[in-house]
Amino acid sequence: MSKELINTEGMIKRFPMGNREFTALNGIDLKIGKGEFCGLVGPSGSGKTTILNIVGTLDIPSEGTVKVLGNDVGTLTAKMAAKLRNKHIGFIFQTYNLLPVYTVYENVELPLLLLGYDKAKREKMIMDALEWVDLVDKRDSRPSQLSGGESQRVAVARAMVKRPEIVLADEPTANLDSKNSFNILSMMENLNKELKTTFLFATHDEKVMKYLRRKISLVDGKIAKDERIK
Amino acid sequence: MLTIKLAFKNLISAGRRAWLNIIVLSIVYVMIIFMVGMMKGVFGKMEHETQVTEFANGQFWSENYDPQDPVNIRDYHQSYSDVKAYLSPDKACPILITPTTIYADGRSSVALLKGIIPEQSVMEMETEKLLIKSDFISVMIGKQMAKSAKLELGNIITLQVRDKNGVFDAVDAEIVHVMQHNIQSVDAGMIWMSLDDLQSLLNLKNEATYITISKEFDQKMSGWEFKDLDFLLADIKLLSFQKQTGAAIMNIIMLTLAALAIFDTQMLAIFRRKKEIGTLIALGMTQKHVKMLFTIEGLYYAILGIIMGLIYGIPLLWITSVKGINYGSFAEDFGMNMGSIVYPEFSFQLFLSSTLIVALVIMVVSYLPARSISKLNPTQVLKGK
Repeated sequence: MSKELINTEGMIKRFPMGNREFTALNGIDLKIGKGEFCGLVGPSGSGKTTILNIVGTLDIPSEGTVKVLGNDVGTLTAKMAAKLRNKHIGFIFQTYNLLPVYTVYENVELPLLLLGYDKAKREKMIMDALEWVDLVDKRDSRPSQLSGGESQRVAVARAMVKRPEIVLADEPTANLDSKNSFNILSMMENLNKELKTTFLFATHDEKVMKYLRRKISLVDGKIAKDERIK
Repeated sequence: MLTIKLAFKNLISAGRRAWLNIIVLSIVYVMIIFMVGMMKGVFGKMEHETQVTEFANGQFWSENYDPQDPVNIRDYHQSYSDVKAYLSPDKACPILITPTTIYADGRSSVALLKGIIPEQSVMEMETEKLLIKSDFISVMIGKQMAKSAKLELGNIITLQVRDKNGVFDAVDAEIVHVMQHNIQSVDAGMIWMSLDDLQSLLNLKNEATYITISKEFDQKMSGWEFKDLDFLLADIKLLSFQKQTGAAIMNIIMLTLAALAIFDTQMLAIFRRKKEIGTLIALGMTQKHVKMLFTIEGLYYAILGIIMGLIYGIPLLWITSVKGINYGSFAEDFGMNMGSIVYPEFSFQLFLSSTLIVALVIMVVSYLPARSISKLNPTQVLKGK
């Protein structure tokens, strides 16, 4: 077993719904190691995105412990959580979430600016990332000038540029056609192999599932099945 | 530093709405400076004109003299024989006042008849014109008086007065000069003649209502009540304060409108850019950091508005301060001693205080909507909710 980057024990997450509470996650025990390429699969409302949010330190569990790179998510201050996200976690979203006023280069540069890297180092890392996603020629384009596939590749570059330990991808292919989905997934698989980055997907896209080497099936906030695929 | 850079980039890329706000703010900024400068110019000029033409360096009033009591004005005079040695045309000028009725072309009107030494140089009035020879008594009036009483240069008028014994007398006088300035307090409802002529007419030899002194005058005069410039200019200062308060309210309204536009833009930006806020948080910013980003974006409105205002405002304001603003005949109707050309006064302090006030107000209105970012749930805003 590889080194554990994510470790959850008895993770419960409840959300207030009117006068009642809705239990989105109900006792999730999960260990994810370095270099894994795994996915949370299940129908809508099964808790996939909630797990990504908590692992990504954007939310905290209602009960149980969640450790990400040894940090207890439940006890992190806002500043510590932000630092953890900034340094070690990359996000890829279904709707790309690129900042519209920035160019491709600037969008990819943003995490590095937050890390305080100098210009030369940033430039080198950005160009590497753009090469990984084959978008060097689009470096000065704005998101509005890109296709969906290109936008998602920029999002991948932005997530990967700082070489994070973990990349969390929430339905990354949901807005893409088959060809673009294939490209994106191949790209992520290559990066996973090359950089040993851990990828955790939330998806119900069959195309993504074909690439997964570990599939964690969720039903009603519980792990129904956790299978490794050879 | 990063926040500052990002905020600038966001603002520059924000498009026409942002630039419209910046333009409006720059106009408000320049208008505030202009209005305050104008007020300073108008009242500065008013104080100066009133001082040099009427009060000089102060006045010694006869006992019980009350300029606000026109009914009994003829009774307010006293002898200056005891202090006559101190008086000279360039240092202390006695003035005698009495009410008069003017008869001209079958019309009659009332006025104040003022006797003054024609050779005096204590006040900046063209009193030497009273030395112009005439077959009648030489008198002069201001252009306001000429207009309101329908009089003009060369007119022969009959002046009716009561002497010290209450006996009515009448003399013919010729208007030998019409003063062209806009100093109301030595013009409206007034006729000026030589002090000697008036004293003879009223049988009040060596009597005056008050004595106006120059800076060089340093004597004490018993029996005369000294009124310094603070006292004499108190009404103007009060008026200045009231007008400046009015102008300040106008400035506040203008600034509030500009601030509201920016507040509205910021509120809308936070609403529209929720997904961006969520993304920035996901990338490693804290909510506090994002809040600061939006506040600085707002502050840039102020900075760019001020810079833009300074770029076109400095030349414009400089020209107005050098060339002045000609109120023309308007000035006559203002009822203030201000002359027809007003030179606004723009000081460094005025620029500095206006800049700080605008920057502070805009920063506050940018911060207020940005506060709501703390209440946003990052997982929700990531979806743009």
